[in-house]
Amino acid sequence: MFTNIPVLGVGLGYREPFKAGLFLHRKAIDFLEVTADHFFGDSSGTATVGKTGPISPTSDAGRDLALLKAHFPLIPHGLNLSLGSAEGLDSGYLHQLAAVIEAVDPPYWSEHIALTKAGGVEIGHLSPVPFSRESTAIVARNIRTAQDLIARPLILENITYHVRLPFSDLDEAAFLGELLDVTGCGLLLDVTNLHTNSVNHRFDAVQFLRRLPPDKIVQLHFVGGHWRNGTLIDSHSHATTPEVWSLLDEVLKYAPVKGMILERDENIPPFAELIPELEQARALGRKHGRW
Amino acid sequence: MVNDSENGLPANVGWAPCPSDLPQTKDGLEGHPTTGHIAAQQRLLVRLYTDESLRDRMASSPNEVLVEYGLAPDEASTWQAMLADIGLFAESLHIKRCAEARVLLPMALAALGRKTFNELFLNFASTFLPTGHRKPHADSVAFGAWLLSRRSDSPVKELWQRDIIEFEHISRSMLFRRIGLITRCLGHVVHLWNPNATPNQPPSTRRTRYVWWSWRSQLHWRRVW
Repeated sequence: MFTNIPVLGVGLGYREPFKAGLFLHRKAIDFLEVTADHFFGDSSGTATVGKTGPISPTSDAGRDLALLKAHFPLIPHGLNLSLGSAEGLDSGYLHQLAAVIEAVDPPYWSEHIALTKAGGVEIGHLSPVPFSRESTAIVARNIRTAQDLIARPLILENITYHVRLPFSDLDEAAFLGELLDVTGCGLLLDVTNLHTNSVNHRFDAVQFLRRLPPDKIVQLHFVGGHWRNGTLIDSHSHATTPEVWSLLDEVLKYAPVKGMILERDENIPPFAELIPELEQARALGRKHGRW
Repeated sequence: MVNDSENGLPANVGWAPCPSDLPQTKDGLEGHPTTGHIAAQQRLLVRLYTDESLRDRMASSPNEVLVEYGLAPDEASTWQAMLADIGLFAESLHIKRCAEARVLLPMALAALGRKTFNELFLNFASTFLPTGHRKPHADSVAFGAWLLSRRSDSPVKELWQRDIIEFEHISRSMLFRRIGLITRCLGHVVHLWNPNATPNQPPSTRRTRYVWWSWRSQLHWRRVW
């Protein structure tokens, strides 16, 4: 399924402050990852159920999306589908997401392996699910529900976790492998998240990588975080660290990656300061013959 | 607590059968008793992440909380062992929300200073949980309202700070709620030269009416009189 996906190269997670810089540095960016939630129609987030459909081309979101789509290949990225929710998916959110994906018409879309809501309460953050066969079954069921509405291939992203949920009967690498096998989805390997978890939970990131199916690793995320109280935080707030570059090198050697995205959200520098990171990533991909 | 020797994780407590036992229905797990159990655990977990008072209750009376959420009291030790990590998660959530608010409220940040802004936001964060897909925007509007609504114990000491916060709050509210027109009087600090003023005399103020309007998704404002 993923061998037919075109090579995308090196891109950026689109954030509104980047808009002017993107067009000034067009040649440095091969593609963009757009957060689907940022293009949902109703800014208040209420009354979405049953009021969704194709995005209006005259709305702010529709205009922005059309502008970006006219200049860059786009990959939609969901934040809040909550694939780990045992109570099922939020239909209103799913329909909004489907509308954005339909408008973008991408080769694939991505979401996190996470719990973000339950019992009508939204966390506003990504919580891990237990690394268990029960979680695999729940996520697989929710993916089937999503795929009834969204026909495009889905790739799943690994997250960082500080809470070690006790209700687990697998380790994370085994859980990811089983989940990818059961669902047929690809992997959006967040290399910074892998590094962060390996530091905080003291395991070998390269050994972890070798347990993942290489042909399922479609796309990568990378950026730098920061330390707080002895814990490495995935804050998307700093330049990519040497440790993450080294792990990226291993991943690109190991897997036929189609694209990689720099994800910068906080402490955003002048746009030109991001370009060397994109160039370094591009050179790394070339070194391993990925593009 | 017993640990899983292979991966170092705590062993399951009252957990579910493996998926090979699950019924192969169209919806996978629906109707299986395990799903209800996991859903109940998730409802509790999400509330613990977002509700400090529930974390306190879980620490002091875990059985009571577990029964309230339809879970067995024999899971108490497992949940209590997670509380410290859950507290760290909750703290990191507040810090993330605060960082987003600093981006969306640059004028309030400049008026209050980073340290005071952060302290006030972290006080506010536990009183409000944003919803919807524009949570940072909802948060910034609610934080502005929170700052302005407090009169007797207002953390905003200076009138000029309040002016700036209110000005930005109105602009941010219009964008978030898609309001077309707002007029509002703001107290406007006037630094008059007054040869008779004593050093501790409060500054003179003048009420000034402003109007904000939104046209083709662009926000405009003007001082009227």
